Amino acid sequence: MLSKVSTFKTVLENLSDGISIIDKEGKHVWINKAMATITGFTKEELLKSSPPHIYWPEEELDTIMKALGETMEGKFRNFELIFVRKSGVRFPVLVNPSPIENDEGEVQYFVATVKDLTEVRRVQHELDDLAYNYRVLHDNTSELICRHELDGRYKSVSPSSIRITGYRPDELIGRDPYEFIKEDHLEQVRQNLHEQALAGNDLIRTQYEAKRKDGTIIWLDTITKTLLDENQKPTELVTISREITELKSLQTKLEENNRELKRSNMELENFAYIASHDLKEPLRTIDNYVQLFEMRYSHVLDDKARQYFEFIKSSAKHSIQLTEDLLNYSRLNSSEFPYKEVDMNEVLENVCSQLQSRIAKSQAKLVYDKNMPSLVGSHILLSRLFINLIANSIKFKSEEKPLIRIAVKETINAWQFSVSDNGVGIPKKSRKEVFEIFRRLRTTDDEKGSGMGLTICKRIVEKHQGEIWIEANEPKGSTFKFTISKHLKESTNV
Amino acid sequence: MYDHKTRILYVEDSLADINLFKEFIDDKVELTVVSDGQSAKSYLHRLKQTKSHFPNLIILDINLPEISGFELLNLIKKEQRLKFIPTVMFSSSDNQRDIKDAFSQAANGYVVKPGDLGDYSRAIETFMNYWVYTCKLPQEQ
Repeated sequence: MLSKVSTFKTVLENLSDGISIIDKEGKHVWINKAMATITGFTKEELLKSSPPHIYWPEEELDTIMKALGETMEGKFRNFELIFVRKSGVRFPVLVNPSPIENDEGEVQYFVATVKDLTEVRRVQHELDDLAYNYRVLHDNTSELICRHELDGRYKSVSPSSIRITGYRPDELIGRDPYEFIKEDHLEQVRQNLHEQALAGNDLIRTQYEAKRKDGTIIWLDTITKTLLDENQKPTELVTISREITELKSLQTKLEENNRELKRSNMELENFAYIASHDLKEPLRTIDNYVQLFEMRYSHVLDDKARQYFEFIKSSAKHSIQLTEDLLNYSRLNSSEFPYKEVDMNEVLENVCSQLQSRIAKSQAKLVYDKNMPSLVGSHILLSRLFINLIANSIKFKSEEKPLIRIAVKETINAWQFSVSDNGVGIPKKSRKEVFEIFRRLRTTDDEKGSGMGLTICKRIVEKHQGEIWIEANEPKGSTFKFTISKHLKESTNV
Repeated sequence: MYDHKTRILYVEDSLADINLFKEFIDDKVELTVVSDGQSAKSYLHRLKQTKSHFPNLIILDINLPEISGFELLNLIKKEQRLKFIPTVMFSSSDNQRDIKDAFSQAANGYVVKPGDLGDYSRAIETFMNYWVYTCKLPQEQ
């Protein structure tokens, strides 16, 4: 049979809290295993120690001695003290002393439980931190965070309501948010936000106007979250609102500016169209008569007159070319070019036949994949795009016969075409500016163009919501790459 | 078969263009030139009154003072006695809208005034040959 004493001893020995029995001098009479574990000293070291004990940190001696003194005087209470481990690390403990009396009722020993508070404190700190963080967020967020009953009434409101709405949280709690929403946005909020949230659709967002306490109107951007019970039934709604009044006014301004920009752009294009269109007529007349003059009178001209005449002639030709190109460019914007399903194989066939004489004359070789895609775009514009790029490659050929390759590759949102040549190439620094209006690179005199070809290309690509750029081709020449969006819609108005 | 003269009415306000045109037609052609829509109207009216021969071909510029080439075209194509006269628009505009307008108002042709003189003379020769000598037209006018 187990004796009561040995049973108690085993229990005490194995408790996770430290137990120490001290005599009236404060010397350990008995200690359990946990006392050693907590302090890091061996039992022997602890039993040998007398006050001040080896686990009492020097700077805490006064406090500990005072506690010991109180205990000796018979005032038993819990003490929160700091002990030191053998490693030198200080740690908090809760010491709970009680007296042990002999048969005569005299206090002979004291028993103290020593609880290591390190872990408790750590968890407590973490909780404090969390609570603090939440408080800081809740109290200082620039957003308005509210909890609502299912009918919308405020259950709790963050302090930011003062800044955003002019109302204190306690002025809002229990009230109906619809009181504060501008009339013409009531339905929108009810349908887009409230009903959606009740249906369990989370993170629904809407923007609407609301009235502040002082009567001014602000724009809010609100997002909802629905809290559900264990049966997935909504219990309350949470809204997070951001004030976007300034953003809205900027947006409105931006939209206005955009409209204005569009309008003036259109005006400019219109102007370019009308100017080039009207200039064409007198220029054609000049050209006609220059030719007629040459036919009828060139034999009577002396050398000087003939030279002057040649200047007139070439300038006339150049002006006509410029006007023609400007007209073509400004015309790209008109609705003359409807978007339809376009088979790029047909486009390239058409391009080849239109360029036939130029290809033959330059002995160029044109290679392309016969499996070109079908896409939505303007047949005429896409043809012109390829014609311009190929003509450009031929124009800037090297001493070799031009070899022009056309390839296509599919990306997520677009078709990416490439036109590569073995021509003279375009220096890196010029690769952007060749697309600018009237920009011309070095050409021989008889190849003199207006410099609009690539500008028109860029415009056509942009009209197809794509981008165009130039890369170097290996070992020589250039590769023009451009994308055509896959998201273009067929025109309906034609 | 071509013993009687070919009569052409050319409505054009640009002296330069009139001159150029004259350079490229032969003397078998009896050319009448008027420089605005109103004169063209009165001219055709006078022909009707005097029961004179109508032109075999009318060539219209589009940009004319006051009454435009299109209005004139519309007038001709609505008039019972004139509507079968081949009427060709001759303009420097290659605007699709103009071309569509012309044909939807029953123009018999649309020619963009060419810049190149070779093309110019070929154009005139071609449409004159076609409308005056090749094409069979209704007799009753």
